[in-house]
Amino acid sequence: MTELEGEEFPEAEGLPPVVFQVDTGLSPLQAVQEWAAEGNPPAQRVAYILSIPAAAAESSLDECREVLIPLLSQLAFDDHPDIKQATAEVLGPLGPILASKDPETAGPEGSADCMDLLVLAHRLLQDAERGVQESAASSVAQFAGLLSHQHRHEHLSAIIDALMHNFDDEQMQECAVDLLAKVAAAAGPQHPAWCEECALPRMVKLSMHRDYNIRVHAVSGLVALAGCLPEQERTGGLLSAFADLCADQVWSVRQDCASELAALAARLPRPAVRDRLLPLWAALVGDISAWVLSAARRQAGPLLAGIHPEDATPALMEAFVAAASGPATLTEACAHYLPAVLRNLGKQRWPELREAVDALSCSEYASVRVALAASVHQLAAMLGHEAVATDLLPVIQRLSADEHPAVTDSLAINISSLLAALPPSERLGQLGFLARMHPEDGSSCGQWRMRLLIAEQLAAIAALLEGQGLAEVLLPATLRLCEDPVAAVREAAATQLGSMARGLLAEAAEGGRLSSAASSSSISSRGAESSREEAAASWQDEKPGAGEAASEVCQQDGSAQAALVESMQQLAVSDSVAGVQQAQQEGGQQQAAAAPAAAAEREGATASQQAAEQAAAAQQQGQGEEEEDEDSEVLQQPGGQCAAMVQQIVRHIVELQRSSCHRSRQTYLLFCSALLLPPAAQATPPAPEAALPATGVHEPGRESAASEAAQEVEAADAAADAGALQADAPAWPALSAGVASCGIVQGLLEGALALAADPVPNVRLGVARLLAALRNQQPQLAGSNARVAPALASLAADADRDVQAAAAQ
Amino acid sequence: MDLDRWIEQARWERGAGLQAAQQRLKRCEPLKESDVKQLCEKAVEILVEEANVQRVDAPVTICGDIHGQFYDLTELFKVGGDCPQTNYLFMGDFVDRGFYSVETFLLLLALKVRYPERITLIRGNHESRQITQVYGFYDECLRKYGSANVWRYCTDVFDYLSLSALIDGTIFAVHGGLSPTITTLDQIRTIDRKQEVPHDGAMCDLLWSDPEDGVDGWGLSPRGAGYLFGHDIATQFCQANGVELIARAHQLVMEGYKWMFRDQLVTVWSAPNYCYRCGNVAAILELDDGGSKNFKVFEAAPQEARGVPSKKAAPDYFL
Repeated sequence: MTELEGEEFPEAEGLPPVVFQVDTGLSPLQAVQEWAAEGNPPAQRVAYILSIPAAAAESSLDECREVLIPLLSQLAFDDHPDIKQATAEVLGPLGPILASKDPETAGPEGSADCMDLLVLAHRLLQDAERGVQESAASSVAQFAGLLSHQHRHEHLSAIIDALMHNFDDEQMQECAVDLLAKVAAAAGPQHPAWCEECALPRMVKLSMHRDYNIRVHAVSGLVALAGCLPEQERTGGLLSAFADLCADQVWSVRQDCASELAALAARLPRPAVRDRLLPLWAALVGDISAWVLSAARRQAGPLLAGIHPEDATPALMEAFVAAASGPATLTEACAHYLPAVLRNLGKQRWPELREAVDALSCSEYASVRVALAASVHQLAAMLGHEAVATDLLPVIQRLSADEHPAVTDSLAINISSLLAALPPSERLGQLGFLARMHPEDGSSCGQWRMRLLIAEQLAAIAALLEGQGLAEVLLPATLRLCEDPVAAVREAAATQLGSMARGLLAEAAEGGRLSSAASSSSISSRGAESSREEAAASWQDEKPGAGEAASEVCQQDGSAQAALVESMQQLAVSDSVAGVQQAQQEGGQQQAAAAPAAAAEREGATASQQAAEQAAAAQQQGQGEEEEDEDSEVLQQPGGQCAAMVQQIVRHIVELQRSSCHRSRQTYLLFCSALLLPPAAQATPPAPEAALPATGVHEPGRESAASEAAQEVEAADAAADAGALQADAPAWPALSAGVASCGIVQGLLEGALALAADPVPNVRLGVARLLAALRNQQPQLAGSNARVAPALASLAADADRDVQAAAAQ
Repeated sequence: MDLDRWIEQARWERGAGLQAAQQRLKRCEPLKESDVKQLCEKAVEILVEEANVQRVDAPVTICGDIHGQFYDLTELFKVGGDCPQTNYLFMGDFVDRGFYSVETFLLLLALKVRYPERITLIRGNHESRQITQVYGFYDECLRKYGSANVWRYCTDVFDYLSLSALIDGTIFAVHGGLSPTITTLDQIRTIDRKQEVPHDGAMCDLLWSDPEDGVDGWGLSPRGAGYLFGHDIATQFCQANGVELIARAHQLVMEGYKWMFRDQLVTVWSAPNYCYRCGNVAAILELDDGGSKNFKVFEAAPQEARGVPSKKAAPDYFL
């Protein structure tokens, strides 16, 4: 034992003497009566006192009146401070419960029980313990609105007066301010008359108290009252009292006034803010006290974010911009309020704020740069592409290159929103972090929460990138995230990737119809048929490395795996590179057309990979010759590009299916689930920030598809959460016919079916869940493959109970 | 007849009630006392069938002490994967010291009831009536439920937890360590475990002992229970039982895991920033079906992902 000094086997005499005896036969109210009473251990009494509201909710009003009110009367006079504290805490929630049981509450008499509670609270408000007083004040605020008009005006006010007039004890007067402010905040809006007639005169009187502590408390009290008074009272006596406090002799009172300026401004009409409050700010910002001055400067941001734009004085703007170069607390406040200020003042005031943004991005404090990086996407969205390109892009680039990782992390957290706000040509440059975010050490999970945030934005990011950026930057990072050491990251990446692939496949199918030539389809048929048997045989020969059992399974299901190979070849030949092959044939490059079949013959199960690689190489070659070859224009059509990207995805995903690591095989199944099972659409999905209108030249079709994919992922999460508790099955959207009949989809399904005999039960569980969901949500697709039903039947008879249950669902 | 309650009971038996309970627990919302009682009763029905040396098949992820750090347990599931997608072996000390022992233990128990073949729970020295009255679980139950009933239900379950596990016949997992009265696994199998953890004897030693580099043979443990044991003892035990590795928890390791005795023993610790102040990282050990071992090291859940701890001063059992 080296680290746990103090943890020893407890000696018998060191133990608590007895375990509390509890009679489980008692009702909640009887238990409270029994165990909260004097004579029980204090901890047990506190626990039962805190359960009084729950006990009251389950009891009748008469029982509560007979048992609880007398019990609380005793408890309020208890000697133990914890007992009094707990009693003070429960009075608040108890009031509305008792009132809801009393039919006379709605009448002019109000709740008589709340009046009883007020009497008890009065005792606790006079307690010597400040915590008890504060809890009692909070409780009174919770039921003050349920008192009758008379009780509120006479008794509640009398209690406040009693506290105010306790001149010997300033703590009581502080309690009076606290009580006034809390009741005004909770019940004031519904009872403005009480605020005007009872609360305001008392608060104004307290604001002139001789003790500066009371005056400090009165500042926030006046602001709370401002929200519930008629306009005339707000701009009259209340504002005059606040102005007097702003000129108080004690700096801490003035400091509190300065800190409350924005809160008060939000409760005052515009003329009062312009003509009376802003001059107060101007006076405070010139105060001789550094504390007051600093507090007033910090209010420049909140004030500019809340007042009418035309009232934003040059002095306010100057103070706000100057704060960007000030000490850390000021600059942080400036960075924090910058987006709100720009939103309120409008884009036309940006030139005045540009200097502040520059200064913040060069701040010596990392926390300031982090705050700016966290909100720069909001600034960019408001400014538009032109201003972003000229003014904000250098700032973003500076933040992207920041030496402090927290700054670049802050940028990455909102990367999809930031990219959406950038001109399309500048987006790719912001994705440098994608290559740096992966953990170097195999055992350390590193900054996995960051990677999870990125993984969850993948579909939204994909929607904003050109084909090249997508294929060369985003897809490699996404595929690597699918093999992340952290399960949550893998799941998020695979799910997003599956949704993206479905969107791309849909476009590829559409693009293929638009561009497909009879010759290319005939080539694809021939290519597929010629290689089918060879590929099946070669897959059987290949040792997948998932153990002997897995090898046997693969041999048994050789035909299924061959279908996957075939589908890969179909993808390579028919979907993605049909146009390329046609171009190559016409250009005299016949070898590309024969490449898939040859690769299958040579390398067995790696045929699909090599075929895809060669197809991709052919695609690149085709791109290089596009100016010379008119048929290569096919590749430039949306369908061709999409299919090539799907090919890149599937080539990698197939490797996961064949991995010796069961976690990779599970990731494959997650990808298939996301691809094959479109989530039930939400009624009105909220438009993500990433879907801001962009003026670039990116492909609108793919953007919309990927945006839909992002929404689908969110919908899937919501559906998964809700699905656990919902009995009604949602209406699942059918997979489009073009996608469902696509060779790649059928091939991926075959790959999943091959895992039905996996030696690891967790993998079989994943297959069972996928197939069961497919049967329920995509019956046409499930029915189109003759092996789905037998596989489900086999899984339903699996030796593992969880697999059985999942297959039977 | 209380029809609603009857329906709830029926839903529970179909698994729907349990699923709802699991969802509530994942949000760190406490279960009703009556639900806790049912959950514990069902857990006992499952645990009573398990052996003292419970057989476990790879792949499985081995986890060490959790100590009521509920939000860090949810982090663990994010890192390792949710149950049942991932199989888990928890090596005890689910409760005490952390703020959320009730939620932690009940979530693990709910998973055990729902997926008995996917998760294995073995007993730690804190799964004891005596220890939980001193180190926080008892107080927490009282504070959250107003009575000791929940504590009583949970401690009754403790008596049925298995004492150890054997993974693929080659990895012996136990909370603490070895015992001078135990030389073979069969001797562990003969222990009558359905009792409070005794102050001495084989059962106590399995839950309380520690390995120690500088010790030859057996040494006196400063904990007052169990023993210190050296490299030679571990080697003898492994050779006698065909075991390649002893996996255990019980001791805080700042790096999350620690190899000892020429990789014959490993300590796994899964409570990051133990007691919310130690600054350590946590680890889990992933055993693949192919036999490979991968540690995953992770940090504590960020503050914004945690619940607000009690405003009262921390009791003295927080070190």
